[in-house]
Amino acid sequence: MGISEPNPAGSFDLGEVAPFWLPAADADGRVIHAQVEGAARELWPWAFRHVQKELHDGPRALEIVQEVAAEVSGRFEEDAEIGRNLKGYYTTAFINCVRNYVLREGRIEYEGLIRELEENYHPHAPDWIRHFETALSLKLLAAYLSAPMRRMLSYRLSDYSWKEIGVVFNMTDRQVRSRFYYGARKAYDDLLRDQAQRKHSKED
Amino acid sequence: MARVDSERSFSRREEKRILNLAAKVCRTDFPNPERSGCPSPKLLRSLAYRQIPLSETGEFVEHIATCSPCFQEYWRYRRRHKRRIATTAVVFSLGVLASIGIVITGHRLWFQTESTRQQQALARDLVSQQTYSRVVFDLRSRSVSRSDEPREVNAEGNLLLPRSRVLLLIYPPIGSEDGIYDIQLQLPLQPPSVAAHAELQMRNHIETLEVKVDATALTPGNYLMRFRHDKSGWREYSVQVK
Repeated sequence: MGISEPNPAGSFDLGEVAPFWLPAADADGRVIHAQVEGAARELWPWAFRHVQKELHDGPRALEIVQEVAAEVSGRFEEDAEIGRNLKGYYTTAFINCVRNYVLREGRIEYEGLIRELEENYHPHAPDWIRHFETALSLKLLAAYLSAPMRRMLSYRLSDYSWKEIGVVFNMTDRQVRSRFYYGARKAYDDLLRDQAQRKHSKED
Repeated sequence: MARVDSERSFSRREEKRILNLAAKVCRTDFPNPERSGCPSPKLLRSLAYRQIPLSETGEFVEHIATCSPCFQEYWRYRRRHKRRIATTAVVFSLGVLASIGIVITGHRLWFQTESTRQQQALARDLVSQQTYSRVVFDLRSRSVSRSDEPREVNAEGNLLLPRSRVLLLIYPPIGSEDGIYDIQLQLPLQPPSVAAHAELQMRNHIETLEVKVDATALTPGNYLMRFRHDKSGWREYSVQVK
């Protein structure tokens, strides 16, 4: 597709979206559920654009869609509740998958950022939040947020109060705020731990 | 320490910073020009206007956070809704203030009116208190007696004096001399209850002694009214105070 730079803020590349195609099962033989296939088809342009933006490699989107669809199908077989918000679940899984690729493939800017975070990181630093000063750093953190934490963040981003979010999660507003804080803190710890492991494995 | 730490959550400032960053990501990082999987604008608006039950919002909220066009559109609706609420609140507050103002002004006017009414009533009372009823003792045709001893001399009948503030006009017997008169009112063999001076003057072509008498404190009964010119003898008349 020849796209190597992110789009300017607020604008989107309107290049052509590659045609959608998904096999009934992935390379490992995992079957793709029909409903998951339907959701993936519907969200294909979005998935394509997302991969284009994050990995600058639109055509690779099909490969990632296949991987995510197989994973979501497996979860769907185990827990039919996922079907209540299949598209949301699929979207989150897809974003996480793409971010994992971004981290795994060690994009230059992310590596620099991680190094900076590591240098400034102190396990019990009360001001660890201070390290998240750019959108990039936050994206990095978001990749490590658990599903409930991401949902809490989504609600907050949609201007729902902690009290309302507490109702959704069956907690008090204080509890849910505290839970979110610790979820974010855990994501931060996991992020640094993973990066340290990755660094060591590279050196080895 | 651990207990305090377990209660830790984002401060408002921290949360605001994180949310601003996350909103920046949401606005630009999820292009979806085809609007695949997007809810309708009507649904987005209903969500922004909080017209959808909280229990049914999960799917849409998660989509909004992962779709830049929806995020932007949702926030347009949301801002509009908040502006409308703020405007309504301002209008309502102004209405309440105006109502309070009207009530206060009304009360003040009512109080002022009431106060004026009370003041007017008080003034009327004062005026009425200060108003003297006119009582005329016409002694022109009565027999004249001069004596140092109190005795009833006016056989023509008692003069009546009401127990109130009285402007007493005494028309002394014809032939009375001009000048200052001492006037007294007393119970028989008692010191004077009322003592006054008056000058004999022409009033409506009648020789008149004019004196203000406060008879409210007098006990009812038969009194002796007497007056004299200079140091001449007293002229005495029986007066009934009622």
